[in-house]
Amino acid sequence: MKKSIRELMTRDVVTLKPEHTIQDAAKLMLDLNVGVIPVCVQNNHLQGMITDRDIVVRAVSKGMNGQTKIGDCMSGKVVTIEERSNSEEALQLMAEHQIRRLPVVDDQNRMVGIVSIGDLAEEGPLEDEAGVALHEISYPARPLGEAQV
Amino acid sequence: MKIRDLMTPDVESCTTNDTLQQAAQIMEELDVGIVPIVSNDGSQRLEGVMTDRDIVIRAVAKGMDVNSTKVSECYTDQVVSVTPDTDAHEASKLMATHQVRRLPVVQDGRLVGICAIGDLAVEGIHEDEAGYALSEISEPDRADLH
Repeated sequence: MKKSIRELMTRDVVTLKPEHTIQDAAKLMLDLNVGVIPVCVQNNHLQGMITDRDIVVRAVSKGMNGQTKIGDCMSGKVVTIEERSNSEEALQLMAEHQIRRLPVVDDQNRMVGIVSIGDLAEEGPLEDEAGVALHEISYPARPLGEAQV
Repeated sequence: MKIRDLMTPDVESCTTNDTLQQAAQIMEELDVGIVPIVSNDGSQRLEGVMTDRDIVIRAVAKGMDVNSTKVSECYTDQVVSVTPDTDAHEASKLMATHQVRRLPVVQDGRLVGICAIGDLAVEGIHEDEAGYALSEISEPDRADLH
């Protein structure tokens, strides 16, 4: 029987708020060596994601500087997975959307963790079901914690 | 097949004197994450490359003004490139080794084109190698692109 995502995910996740600046996000991306950070509002409700690419094409390209709020340039549409789902469902989502990290939410859309392809690989041989996913996706999970910015 | 037959000859580039905002605009318009950087003396001499991630971690993270900061302060001058005479198989190996999807094409030090991994894949005869290259390259992680 496959483990649930709850058992495989990383629990402590660094998140930012929409009112943080893109400079805050960029610093975290530098420090954690990641390209994407979840954006949450009160009670960890997941609002969106901010990527390094979002910062460049939605802010820098328009001449907007580091003090620009994340809320003004984040991606609001996020693919998430429920904590009760299993690794197979997560891999399907990753392959379908060509992403390697999925925010994990509870039934209230509160963010409770993040699951990376690496976390799923520990589950066992994924070669077949991962297929495209493993080819395109290989991102190490990051140690996470409250964002200090 | 040689790169000259597969590359895109007209390539958008930035000069070292352009601003980060201008470079970002090119990345947005062309939907690319990396642009070749040429010298600003009109010679088209390839100086390096700059990625979207370079802009974020070298400039935005440090609070630099994107409208006045020049490309020269933030690009990478170590660059893997090919020549028009490079064999397509060799180019795909370079892409896999260096984890890049686009290679500047240089002749006598001058930028003459760009070769994307897609340019190799459509050739069909390179499917295995290009496939290997693709499997080794992870798009969102562009930290070590060059």
